[in-house]
Amino acid sequence: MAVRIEKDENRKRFVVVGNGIAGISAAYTIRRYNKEAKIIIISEEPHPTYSPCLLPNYLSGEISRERVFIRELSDYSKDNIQFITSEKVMTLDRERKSVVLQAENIAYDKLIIATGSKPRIPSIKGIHRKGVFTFKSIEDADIICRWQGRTAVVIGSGPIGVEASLALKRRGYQVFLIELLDRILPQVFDEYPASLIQDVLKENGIDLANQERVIEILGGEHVEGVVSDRRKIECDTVLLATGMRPEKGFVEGILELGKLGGIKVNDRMGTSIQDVYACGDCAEAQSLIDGRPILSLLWHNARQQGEVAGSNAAGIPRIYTGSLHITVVDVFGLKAVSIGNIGTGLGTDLEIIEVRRNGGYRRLVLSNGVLVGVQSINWDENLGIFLAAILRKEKVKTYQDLSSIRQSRLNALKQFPFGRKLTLRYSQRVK
Amino acid sequence: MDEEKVIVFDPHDCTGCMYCMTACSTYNNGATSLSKSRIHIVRHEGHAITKITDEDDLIFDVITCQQCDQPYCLYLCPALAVERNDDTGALIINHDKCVGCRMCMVGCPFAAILYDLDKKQTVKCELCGGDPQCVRFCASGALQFLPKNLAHLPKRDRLARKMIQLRIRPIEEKPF
Repeated sequence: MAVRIEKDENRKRFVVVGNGIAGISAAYTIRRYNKEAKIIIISEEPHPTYSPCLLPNYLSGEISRERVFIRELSDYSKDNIQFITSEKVMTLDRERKSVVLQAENIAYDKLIIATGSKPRIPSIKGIHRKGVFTFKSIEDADIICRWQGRTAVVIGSGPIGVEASLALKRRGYQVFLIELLDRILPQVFDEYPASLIQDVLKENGIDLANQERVIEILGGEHVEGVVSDRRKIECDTVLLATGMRPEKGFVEGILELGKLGGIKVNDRMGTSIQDVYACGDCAEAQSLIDGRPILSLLWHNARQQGEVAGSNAAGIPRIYTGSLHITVVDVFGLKAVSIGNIGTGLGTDLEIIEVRRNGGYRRLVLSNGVLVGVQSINWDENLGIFLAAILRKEKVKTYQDLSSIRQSRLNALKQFPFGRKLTLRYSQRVK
Repeated sequence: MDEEKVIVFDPHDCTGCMYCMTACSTYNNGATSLSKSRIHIVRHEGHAITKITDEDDLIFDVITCQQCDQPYCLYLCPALAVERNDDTGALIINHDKCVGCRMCMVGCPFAAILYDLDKKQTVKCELCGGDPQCVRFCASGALQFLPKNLAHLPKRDRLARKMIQLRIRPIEEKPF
């Protein structure tokens, strides 16, 4: 009898809702710790997991469609993970501990919600016309690949907007990029580095306009043009890159939500209900820099959150340190990198260090003497040193504090003790 | 996995001859080009962590992949191209998957990942499949390739020797 109970204990049921990187990294983390457990992934989409970060490369034709996928359908059964495709979770039954699908109920011992995010659709007149696209899923990319257009208006210049514009330009479109705020990539770059990126975009034939608001999308069934508060552009394609919102779907009203609209989680990715975890774009975790809640709609944060949620669900406590923004954009050969915060919302005690060298530019943002962010244009060597300094919340006075190799090396070793344990040994000179 | 080996570096033995860089770039690129080497020797301005003599002011250090246990590059890669080789324990970049976005390069705190302009992909030290050429051609013996469980021994020897030196030093030779 005792044996049977032990066996049941091992055969716990883990249900993962969502097949993005957060979901599969949670599922594979559980599998690493618990070889016996029953793991079920429920996905709305029919595909295996793919990487949305690679969609611009697919759209521009650099890589084939197959390379966007990071798993094959057969990979799941290899690791004994049950994969349910094209099924929408209707609701969550917290008394009976089960998720309700259209046809069946699936009971869980631990539930991990990784439903991801959906594009935010602005309320512009004529948004329903044919030729208006969003750019988030592989279906979106497929549709745009099949679409025969010549002129495209991209609304919103976040990283998705910029990368989509570059991809469309490479596909032979004439591209107009419209941004509501005063500069391009407003969340990740300050004025001066943003102006450098803008110059390169303009030189390469992308028609860029800041502080412009789109009022209406013209046309009958198909898109024929866009009217903004300044001008009228004739076009046949409109791409909306106006941000993402967390996909809460079936948990709305059941789980506690945060101020920013994501599912509220603690530092172990647990939600307001016991045995239910959330990770990825739908979760609202704390920022690594100031500890405030933040929506981190980025790949590496989702992956780390998935691992933390998975290992906590499997019974191994792990703490999520926080989300950090890292953006790398390659604009016609101009390498633009932004790590951490650009200084918004950190109070007034900000200090900026600017360094220029050989056509490269670096901008360090310090808050109360602590490095919180770095932006770099055309100078991407040794940038990880700054990342390590941000992770360590290091006090910096001058740029040379960080750029000296010895100092940065020691700093890196402090941050990554595992690396040190393994390989770096200062041994005795044999005489 | 118990046979897993790591590269061990001794800055006191290194003469800065750059044979390791030459060997690395020749082996991995088919042509010698020091800038494409995956191991880099840099000169310190200061001294090593444990300074014994004045000669130690000329100290070289090595920048190469540490094959971390919890690597940041692995989290950052959006194509899951950074993988762990189970035989050697090395982190390798799968060039069938890599799209050259440079995320791993930006995230490496050791600055050990390079961007290959010809391939348009990132490259890093992959331990040459278990026989690192930098160690093979190291002229001074500063680089060693030791099993993980023995990698701490050189440091222990060094500390023990230093303790003996301190103990047997005559009293009148004390600097103060």
